[in-house]
Amino acid sequence: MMNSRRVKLVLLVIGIALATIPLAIDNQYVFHVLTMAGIYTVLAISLNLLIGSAGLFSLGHAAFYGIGAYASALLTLKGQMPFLIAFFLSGVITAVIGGIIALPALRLKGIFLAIGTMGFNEIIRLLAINLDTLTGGAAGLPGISTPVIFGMAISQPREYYLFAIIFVGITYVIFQRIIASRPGRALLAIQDDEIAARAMGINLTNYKVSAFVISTFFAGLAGSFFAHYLTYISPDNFGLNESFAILAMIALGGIGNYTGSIVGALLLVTIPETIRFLQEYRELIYGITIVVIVLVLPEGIVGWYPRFIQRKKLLNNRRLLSTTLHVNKEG
Amino acid sequence: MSLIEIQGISKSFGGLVALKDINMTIEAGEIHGLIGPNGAGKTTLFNVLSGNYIASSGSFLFDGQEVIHLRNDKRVSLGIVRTFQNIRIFTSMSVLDNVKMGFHRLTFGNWLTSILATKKVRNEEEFIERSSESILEKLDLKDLAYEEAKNLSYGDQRRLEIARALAMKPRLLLLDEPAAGLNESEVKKLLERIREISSMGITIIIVEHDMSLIMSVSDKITVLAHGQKIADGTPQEIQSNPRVIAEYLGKGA
Repeated sequence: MMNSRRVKLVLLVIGIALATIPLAIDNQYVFHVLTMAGIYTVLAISLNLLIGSAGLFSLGHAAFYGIGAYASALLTLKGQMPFLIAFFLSGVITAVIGGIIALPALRLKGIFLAIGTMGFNEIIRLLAINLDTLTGGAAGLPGISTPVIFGMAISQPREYYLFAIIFVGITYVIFQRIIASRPGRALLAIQDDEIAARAMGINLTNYKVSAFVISTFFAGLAGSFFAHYLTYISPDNFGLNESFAILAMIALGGIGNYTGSIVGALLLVTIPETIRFLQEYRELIYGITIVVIVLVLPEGIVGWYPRFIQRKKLLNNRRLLSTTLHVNKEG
Repeated sequence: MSLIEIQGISKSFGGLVALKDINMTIEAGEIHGLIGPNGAGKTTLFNVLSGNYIASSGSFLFDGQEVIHLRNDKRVSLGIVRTFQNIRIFTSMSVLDNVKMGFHRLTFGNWLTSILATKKVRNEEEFIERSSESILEKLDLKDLAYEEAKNLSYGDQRRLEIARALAMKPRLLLLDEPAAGLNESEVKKLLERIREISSMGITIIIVEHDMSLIMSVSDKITVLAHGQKIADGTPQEIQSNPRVIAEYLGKGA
């Protein structure tokens, strides 16, 4: 187990380093890639609460991402709301829908929940295509306003990037706190053994629905930020392939590991972007990632590293022990 | 009035009658043994008492309150706590976190206060941590606190389950075959431990096949056979009861 204070320090340093990038370089393309990585990080962290901590295999996260995006776009386009209120409200709307979906969906176990949520994802995409008076249909919604926060306009890539950093930072801290506390432990217990969890006095439905509400709230926020960042959304942005992309990021970083979700999202967004010829094969990369990680590193790259170190230490200790025993015998 | 009054409890699964018209009265602070041949309905009765099953009929007064229709987690909140015959610890969690789970019942941190990390929540977490450690110490599990629970030996896992149950500050503790799979010296220790728990003022109902354990630890014993109560009384009375002897050794004995 890694020292938690050391982990915090490392994360703080990384956070400061990331926040100071704009001072050093001013490359719009770099900011764009990192902003997208930030949005996917929030999606990955929030889905990780369901898949990694509560053991609820939801494969419809992109649907909630889409609901947040459309909600925010419509609230500002048709409702003339300021960004910050629309941002927050779209999270709330998504969370309410998430909670409503969770109630019947939670009757499904394991793989059936995955199939059910996949179906929901497809329904939302088709609704976005077919409710064209509201959503603009397959052509999407253009002309979404760029964010203005307390009179401060966000319009430069560098400003979006800073917003993304803060957004990711807050999300990360919130989910870490959840998982280290009473409700987080309850989720882990439910994932481990439902009967034993109930024997602890845990109300299963309550906690599972709450997990859905919190997870989808953040998916909605990510959707809202995405909409106001690109200023254009279409149903293609929120299809099943996006849900699988988020899943691949979680798997790569380590299921149930929130720091891993950051690393997973960062890698899987930046690698196809930086290696040009891979761009066409983005989905293929996600698919291969899931397969390889599940087979080779089921704990993900971030979960694997401390264990790797631990194992090395253990081996060294054993070697030391056996040599001492040997020496003692001879002596 | 007695702490536990069970009247006319029956439980059937489809056509199979697993429990028929069970009556029991247990006083506060008592250690009550529950014995019977395999398939007698002991574990079913446990499941009915803990709320894992809902009884087909009957009444269960706990401290004067009717609880027979309450769900498992609601009964836990009244202080009815159980362990399982086939150990149910949280295998993927650390030993310490397993005990921390036991504190779920009596702590209050919710989603919002945990996210805000309020002072109250931080104090509560510290309290949970310290109390969990002291429980582990009491049960000689402290050295294993950060071990993953699945790596524990069978006997240690049994002990961990009891540690977790104690963290829940039970008023009634249901022990389902706590000695199963333990060796002789471990059983001896378990016996002392049960007495110790009892001396903390916790009422205990214990299902066990180890007769020497049950006879030495119980104040009263109820014997079940074929889903019915066939006898109850002190260990001496049970040992000399002809119906009990007949059930255990066969009718010809």
